[in-house]
Amino acid sequence: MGTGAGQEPDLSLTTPRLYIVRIDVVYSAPHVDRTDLPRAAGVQPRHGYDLKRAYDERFGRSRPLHFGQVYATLSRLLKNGLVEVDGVEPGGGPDRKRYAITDAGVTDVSRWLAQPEKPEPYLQSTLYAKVVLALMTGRPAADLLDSQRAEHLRLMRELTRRKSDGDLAEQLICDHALFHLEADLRWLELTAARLDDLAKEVSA
Amino acid sequence: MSGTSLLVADDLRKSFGATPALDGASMEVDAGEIVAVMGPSGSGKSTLLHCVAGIVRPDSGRVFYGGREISLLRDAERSALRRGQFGFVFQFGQLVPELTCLENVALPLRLERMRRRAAERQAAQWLERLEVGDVAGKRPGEVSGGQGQRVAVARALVTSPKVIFADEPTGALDSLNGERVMRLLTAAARETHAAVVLVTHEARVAAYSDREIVVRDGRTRDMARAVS
Repeated sequence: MGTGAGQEPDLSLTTPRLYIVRIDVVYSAPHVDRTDLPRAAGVQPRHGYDLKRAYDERFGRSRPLHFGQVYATLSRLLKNGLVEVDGVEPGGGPDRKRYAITDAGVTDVSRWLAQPEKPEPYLQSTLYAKVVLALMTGRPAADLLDSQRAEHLRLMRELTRRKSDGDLAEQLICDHALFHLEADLRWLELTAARLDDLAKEVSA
Repeated sequence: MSGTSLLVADDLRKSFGATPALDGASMEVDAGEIVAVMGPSGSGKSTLLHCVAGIVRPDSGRVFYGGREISLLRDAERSALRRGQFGFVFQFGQLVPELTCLENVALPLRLERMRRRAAERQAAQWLERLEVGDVAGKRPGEVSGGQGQRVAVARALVTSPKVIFADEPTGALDSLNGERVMRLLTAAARETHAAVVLVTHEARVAAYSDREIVVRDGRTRDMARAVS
C-alpha cells in the first residue's frame, strides 16, 4: 500500500474492477430480476461513460477507472455473451452504445458474489524482509519498526478524518483500510517485542 | 521542554515494590492537543497517566501544569486541581451506581458547590451532546456499556476541563460503540479546546489523536519528534 507522505491512500488496489463494472451493468438492465441484488444505481441500460462515472463515484475516488479499461471490459463481456448492446444513439462524435446485461451475465455475477475471496496470507511481507535485512547488516531494526509505525498511524489519522467527513459508504471503505493497517501495527508491535530473539536467529 | 506546553512530565520514575513501572518517562502536551499514549500491556502507560494527572506521586522527576510544579503540591491542592482543571474517563466508566446518569454527570459540579438545578441543567445538556439524553433518569446498571461510557465522557466534560485524561476509554466496548465514544469525545474536546491524554493500546483509537507517544519498559518515545 502506498503510504508516502502527502499521497492519497489507495483503497482500491484489491477491487476487482471487472466485476464492479459487471455489477453496474446488472443495475442497468430493466428486464433483469434484481431482487437478490442490492439496489444502488439507476435502472436504465448504460453507456460506457455512465458506467465509469457510477464506478468512480462509488468505488474509485482514489483511483478512477480509465475509459480504456471500461471499453475493454465491455468488449470482453460482449464477446462472452454477458452483456448485449441495447441500442445505439448518435452523439456529438461517434455513436454511443447502450449496454444491458444478459441472463448469462446475471448468473455470472451471482456466482462471483457467492464465491468467497481468497484470503491473502502476506507471507512475502516487505516489512519482514526489511527487518531481517536490517538485523543482518547491523542496522537499527527497532528504529525501522518505529518509523514504519509512525507512518502507519499517519495514514490511519488521515483515514479517520476522511471517515468523519464521509457518508456511510465512505466510512465502510475507510474502516476496511483501517482494520488492515491496525493488523500491520499489531505485527510491528509484536516484532518489536521479539527483536532480540530474531537477532539471535539471524546471526546464528 | 518547550516552555509553552500546558502539561510537562520530566524524567519520571516510579516503582511499585521492586517492580519499576516508569524508568525515565517524559512527555509534553500543548493546550487543545490530543495525544495518544500507546504501548503494550504492562509498559507503564497507565502509571504515566496517573503521575501526570496528579493521582500518583512519582518517586522522582517533575510534573508541571501551566508552569506550576504539581508534584510538589499537597494532596488537598492536587485534589482541587484535579476537580477544577481535569476530567477523567476510565475503561469501565466508574459511575456511581446509586445515582441516576443525570446525577452522575452533575456530581462534579455539585462538588464545586453549584446549585442542584443549575448543575443538572448543565449535565442534561452534556448528556444530549453525547447522544444519551434519553438515559438521564436511569441508573448506570440499567444502561448499555456504550451508553454508560458516553455518560462517563459527559461527566468528564461537564466542568469544562483544560485536560481530559482517558485511560483505555473504549477498552470494554465493541468497535461500533468504541468509535462513537471516540468521535464524540474528540469532537467535544476540540470544540472546547481541551487537551486530551489518551491511553490506549488500540491503533484505531489512537488515530483520533494528533500525535502519539510510545511507552516501552517504562520509557517514552515521542514518535512525531523521533521521525521528523
